[in-house]
Amino acid sequence: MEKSPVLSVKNLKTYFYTEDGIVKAVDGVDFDVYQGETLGIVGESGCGKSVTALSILRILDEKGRIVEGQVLLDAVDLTKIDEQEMRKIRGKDIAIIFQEPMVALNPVFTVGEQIVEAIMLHQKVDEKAARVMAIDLLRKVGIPEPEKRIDQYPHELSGGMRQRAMIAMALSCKPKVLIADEPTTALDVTIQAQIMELMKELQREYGMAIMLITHDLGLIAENADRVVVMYAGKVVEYADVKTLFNDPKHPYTWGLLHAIPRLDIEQTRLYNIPGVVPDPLHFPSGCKFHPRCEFKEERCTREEPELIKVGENHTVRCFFWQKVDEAKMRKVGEFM
Amino acid sequence: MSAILRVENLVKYFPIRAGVFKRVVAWVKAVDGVSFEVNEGETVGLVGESGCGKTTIGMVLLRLYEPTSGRIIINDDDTTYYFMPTLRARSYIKKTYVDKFNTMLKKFGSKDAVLNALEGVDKKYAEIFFNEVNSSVGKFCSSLLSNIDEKRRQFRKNVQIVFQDPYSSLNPRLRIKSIVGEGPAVHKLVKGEKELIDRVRSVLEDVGISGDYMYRFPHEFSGGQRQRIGIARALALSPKLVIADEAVSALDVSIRSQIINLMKDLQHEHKLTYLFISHDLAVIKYVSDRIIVMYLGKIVETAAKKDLFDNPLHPYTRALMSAIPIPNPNIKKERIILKGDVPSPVNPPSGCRFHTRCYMAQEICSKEEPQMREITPGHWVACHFAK
Repeated sequence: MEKSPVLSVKNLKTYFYTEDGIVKAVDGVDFDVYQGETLGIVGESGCGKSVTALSILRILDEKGRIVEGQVLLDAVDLTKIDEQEMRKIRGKDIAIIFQEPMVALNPVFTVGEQIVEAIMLHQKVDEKAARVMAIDLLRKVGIPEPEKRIDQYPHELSGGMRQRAMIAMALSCKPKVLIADEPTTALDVTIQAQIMELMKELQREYGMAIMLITHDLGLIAENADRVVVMYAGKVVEYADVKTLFNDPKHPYTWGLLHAIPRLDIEQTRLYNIPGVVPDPLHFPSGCKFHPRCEFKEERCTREEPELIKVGENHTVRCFFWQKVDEAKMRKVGEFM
Repeated sequence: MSAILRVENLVKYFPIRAGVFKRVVAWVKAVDGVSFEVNEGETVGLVGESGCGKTTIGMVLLRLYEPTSGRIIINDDDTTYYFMPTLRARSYIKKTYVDKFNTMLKKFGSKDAVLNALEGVDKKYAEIFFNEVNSSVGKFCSSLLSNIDEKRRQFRKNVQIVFQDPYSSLNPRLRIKSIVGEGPAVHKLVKGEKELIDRVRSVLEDVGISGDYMYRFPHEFSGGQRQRIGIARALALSPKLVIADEAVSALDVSIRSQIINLMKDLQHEHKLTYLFISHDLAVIKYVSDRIIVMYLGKIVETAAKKDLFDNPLHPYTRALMSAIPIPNPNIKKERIILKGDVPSPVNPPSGCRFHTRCYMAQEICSKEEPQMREITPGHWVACHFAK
């Protein structure tokens, strides 16, 4: 039986209308998120991964606008409903945790006040009950002495504790989808390990879907079930995690995987993806990756490739993905 | 191989001041007794999490902070006193050398016996003390402090740094030519405008930036290019030691690999010595020959790269290694999840500083501080239970 997705993003386009011109931050993105599953979205800065998350929740700044596409949550298109209905969804059905918990938490309210507010907004409980729930949540996310911590201000907590508090707040209404936008980037690795472990446990318990947005391929490999690779506002590759890492087809994915220093293998040289991430105001013609691609041909400079199905649940935006396969055979060991 | 840099028992405390009179109420023990060596031509990786003191070490080595105590020896010259005010420098020299030499003289009986017992920088200074200045304290200090301006200049030329943030580390009001060319001009490595321009052009091209861009401003470059300019600025002086403080941490994955490869190539071409400071163990593994692992102001383990990864001995090193996600979904690895957060360096735990989070901790760990022990040649660890 085919599972139906909890959240489905179809041909999403989010543009920013700036004084310098139109920034096509997200330019036709499709993916599905299933219950109990983690979808990884990976890409470098400016690829549109965070804007995708903000678009789903409709919390873009005033210059940004969703110009096309659908965001379907249980068959309701979130881009069409009015702001009041959207408010009922934010925090209740879809919750988000950000990279920098210090910025995301309000410094002039205690942690408890902020969690209680979130609970009371979406659930019919009085303040006393909400406070009890908040303490339970803090305990659940592994904050020691939650009865004491609940009355502390964000600055009194460490970075890891703040991120735990953010998670507690996000989980307060048992959301169907949790968007985690670089949730551990600002944290030390030993704390990152704690937080990722916690998120996995909570996912098992609550059965929510997680959208894990990160630039760290290691985090993706260990936590995601399926992966979207983004480049310059587009999905360039979409596959389940094993396929993506074992058999990448897009030159960008392949290059990224060989450009990272790794602990698990000996490397004599890292792969160089030449050039820089393109300026979103002046994207190149044709395939947006072509100026940096070692497999490009004349066609790539003219025409933009569509997503091509190359396997079961595996799509790639590249005319010449077979060339990556050939290169894999040729270059095996060169960067290992 | 000879040690280009030797750090002995380096300590850096920062005062915490409070109240109307700004009295010192406590000390942040950022670096608390750290010793290590960097040999010519090698890359030493300094790794640890935030608050472990790794950046402070870099800053102290560059003398952007004065060390609280300890010695920093570069090429067999004690550079610790170079940037102290004269009176402090004299008292440092007296305390560090004169007192030591005199005590030894009493113990050994003769100058020659003392000289034989010493080596390296101590022997060099003892010879000056006993033979050149006839044990005159004043003359000895003057001798070490002679030409201090020239010594400072040499030090600044020989030790350079590449910073983490390529945005804030380049002056936005200066053209690239001035940023990269200032060093060579100040140090009189070039004569006249034409030589200066040639010099700037050649270092820029070394780091992969067209020499024609030298009249541009920093904002006209991308993050990766700016980091290249930061590297060019350091290289323009042909330094002996380059400290790279999180030099690639702020960069995107694809740009990071470009810069890492560049730094490796430059090391090869210019015979550079790197002290590579980073929180990212994977980067450190890729670039380093030897690795130093720090925790809360102390070194917990140091070894050649292969030894460290084949056989990590300190529980913190093991936890750190296991915490790093591996970009390979086929590997399911055992993860050691540490409890709690890094304690505050104002009040570090008693005994072994790691014992509050250690999964192997026993009673002794909270009472006795473990000393560095050499388990196999070149592999040092500070843990009571390392074998």
